[in-house]
Amino acid sequence: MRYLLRRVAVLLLTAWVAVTVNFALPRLMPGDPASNMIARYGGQMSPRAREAIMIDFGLNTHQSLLGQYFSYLGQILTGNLGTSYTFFPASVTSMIRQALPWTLGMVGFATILAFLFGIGLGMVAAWRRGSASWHRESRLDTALVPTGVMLSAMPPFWLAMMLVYFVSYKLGWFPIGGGIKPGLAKSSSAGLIDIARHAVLPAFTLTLIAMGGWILLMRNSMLTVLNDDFVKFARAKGLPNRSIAYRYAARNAILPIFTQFAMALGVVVGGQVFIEIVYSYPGIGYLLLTAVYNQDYPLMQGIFLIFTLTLLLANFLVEMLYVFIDPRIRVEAGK
Amino acid sequence: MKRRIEQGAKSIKPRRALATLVGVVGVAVVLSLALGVTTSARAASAASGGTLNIEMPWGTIADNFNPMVPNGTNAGGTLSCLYEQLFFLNTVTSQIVPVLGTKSAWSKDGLKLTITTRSGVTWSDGKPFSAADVAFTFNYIKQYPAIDLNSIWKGSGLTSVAATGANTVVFTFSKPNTPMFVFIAGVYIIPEHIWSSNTSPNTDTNTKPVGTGPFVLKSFSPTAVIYDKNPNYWMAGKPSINTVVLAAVKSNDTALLDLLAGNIDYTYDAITNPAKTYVAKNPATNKYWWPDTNINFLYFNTTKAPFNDPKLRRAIAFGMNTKLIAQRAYYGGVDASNGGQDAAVTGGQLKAWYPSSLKKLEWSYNVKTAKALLKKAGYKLKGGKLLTPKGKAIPKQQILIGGPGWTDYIVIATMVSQELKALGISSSVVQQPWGSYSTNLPKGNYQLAISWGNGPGPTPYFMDYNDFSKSKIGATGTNWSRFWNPTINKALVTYRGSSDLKVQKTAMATIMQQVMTNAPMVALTGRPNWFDYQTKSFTGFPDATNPYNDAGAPDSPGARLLYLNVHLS
Repeated sequence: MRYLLRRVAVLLLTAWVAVTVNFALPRLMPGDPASNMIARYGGQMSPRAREAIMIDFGLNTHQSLLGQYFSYLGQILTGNLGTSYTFFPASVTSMIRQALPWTLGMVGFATILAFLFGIGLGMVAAWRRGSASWHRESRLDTALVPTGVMLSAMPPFWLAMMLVYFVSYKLGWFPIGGGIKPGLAKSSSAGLIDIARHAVLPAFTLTLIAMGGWILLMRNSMLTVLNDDFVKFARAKGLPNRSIAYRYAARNAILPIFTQFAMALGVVVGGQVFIEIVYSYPGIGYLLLTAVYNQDYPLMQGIFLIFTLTLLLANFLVEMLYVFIDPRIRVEAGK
Repeated sequence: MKRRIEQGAKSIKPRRALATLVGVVGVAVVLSLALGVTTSARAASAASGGTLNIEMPWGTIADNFNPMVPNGTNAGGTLSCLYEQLFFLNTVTSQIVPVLGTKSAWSKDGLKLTITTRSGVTWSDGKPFSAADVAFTFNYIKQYPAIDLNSIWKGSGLTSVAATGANTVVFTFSKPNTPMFVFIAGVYIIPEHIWSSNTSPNTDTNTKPVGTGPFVLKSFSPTAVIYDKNPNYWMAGKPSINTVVLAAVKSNDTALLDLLAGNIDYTYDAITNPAKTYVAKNPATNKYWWPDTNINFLYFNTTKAPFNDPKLRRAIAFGMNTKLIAQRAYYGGVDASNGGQDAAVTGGQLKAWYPSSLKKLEWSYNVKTAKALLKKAGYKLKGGKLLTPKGKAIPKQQILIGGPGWTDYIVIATMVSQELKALGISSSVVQQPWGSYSTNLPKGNYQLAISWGNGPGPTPYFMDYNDFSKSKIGATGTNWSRFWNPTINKALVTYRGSSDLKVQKTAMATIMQQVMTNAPMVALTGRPNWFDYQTKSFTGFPDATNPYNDAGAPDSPGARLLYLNVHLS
């Protein structure tokens, strides 16, 4: 119980710090949004629109910084993240709600896929190295480690651009960009198929890139565990290899990787900015780019906030999950 | 990649435009109907039908058809397909085109503006349009300052707007302010029967728009808006085309590729080296028309040494090779400025407003003259460095430019820096994000800057008022050179108070003379609208020989004239 309370307290404290930083950052930026908007139009928007824009954006009221801070906190608690400057009068919440499913679907799917494949391959690589012959590396392991290193070092946008050029543009197998063909309804079966077609390349890119890291992590973690005494004991006892690999070694090796996975899941919500830009994918990453481009502070704040909070929450959930998967922590927590 | 930032920058409100004389002048103006006079005869016999395809790098389109929100936050086409203004003011030709208004007249004392509205117009829901809708629109704006995007009421002296008959609206002012016609003409008229009960006009998304325009909304999606012909449009037989599709793409490059491929008919983009990369691919159909509607200036901060000396500024003006700058920055697509009168009058207005008596004050590129002028003013060149008359070396100056990705501004600033070097002034180019740029210019936190002119209009008054008013100096002001003097102030007041063209011309000549003598800024190149089109399927586009609109973006009011004039070829 004390474990739980302590975790909740840490969660709340970090959330508060994140929210406060989020509040402060845009206010340290130079310029006001109205002048900004007029300037971006390069002389085509009349300076006469200034007053009206200030009212629209809610900038005409002069509130003290402390007052602004408390009303910001109040708004966040009620789920009101303000109004987007770029998409005025649409609310930030509605813009995020529009973009989030795209990202969650595509990036989330790719992240989980990359995790499963990466863990699997990493496990096999480590096991083969360990079991096939104690002193000679197996061929699979020899191939997998450099592949993993190469994949995890590859810049995602580069791979994405190569795929767009060769697979989409040259071969024409997949659409060049976007999330769905204009005019198709998202709920129709044709629409769903089209969404899947649009998601294949970005998801493939992400899976490939992210997989490299998982392979390496899992392999290393597994190798450490394989040298542990209890594995040696299991071998000595004559347990079947499969049983040693999966029930003993892998289960222990995966524990430290869970934290990483939680982080990866938390980051999913933030979208994959580069991938989404290259594929013009209508997710959170692309929305963030639009917000930065237009200096749309409320939208940026909203996205960062969601981003931070999901990351914190994912972390928290994993810590809770540990209680179930790691008996040592369960004992600790029970005290 | 040029001007990527204008991706989001959809085009703009109407107000920069209007006939030179009319409206501003007290004469009652009668302009026969027919938008785009020249093509209408041809259009009548031309094939009707067809879908005009347009792409813009908007990313996504908002489901918002409210004509009273800041630019670009409503869906493209709201201002060009659905809603109309009283008059369209063509900045390129200085022509007033009657739309929902047919005539306008100022009273002798300049306190009363009477506008006659068109009869026989219906809203797209079938209800009749009348002067009452016009009066309602203006009084509605008064009630909600958040939608007063043209500052119709704030500080203008306007006291009341009332419909005095089915086709007459009277605007009453407390002080003479004839330039206000331009802003009044540009307001989008909304139906009273729809909006009168709406108490949140700036946040309503108006997804079932009812307007008087030539098209009605057919369908909306975040990537494309489709408009169908309004069968009951007030101009008989128009539009010729059946459908307008405004699609959003993610970048200018995509739109340009589709334009080259003939997939679309029209986009708005500063193409890099248009003659080579675009026209040459198919000269018969790949066209662009980029008329100047503003100017790129070299701004001096006239309140800080060393540029507080008008003699130094004038000498620098002679040292600017504007032709070469325009060539390098725009590959011949945009005109160079010369003479100096451009600082007070934009290109198209010179003929009507620039008196020949000022010719002797003009400048042109000539380094020798520039050096001679410097010498005469007491400046000395020593080891390639310019010394002030007091013998002090001029420290390194900074040239401020804004915006990431505006390669044309980077080129212009770099060239200006080289030209300055030839005169003995060393400088560096500093690029700032919009937030800092838009703060530092009005606050005077700069020495030299490259930027545009503020709020150009149909007569020189509009930009002069923004650029040289004493009241416009300040943190949010538009007088960035911080240059003003009582003579200019008086001339601006005289212009405002008069509806007599002769008086107005004299007033403007006074300002031009002051500006040319003091050179608070140097006009470098024109600043055009970037209209790119493809004549594979349609004809009747505006161009230099038939400039019936201002070459604006597809969602600007001028585009409506294009939609009314193009027809299948």
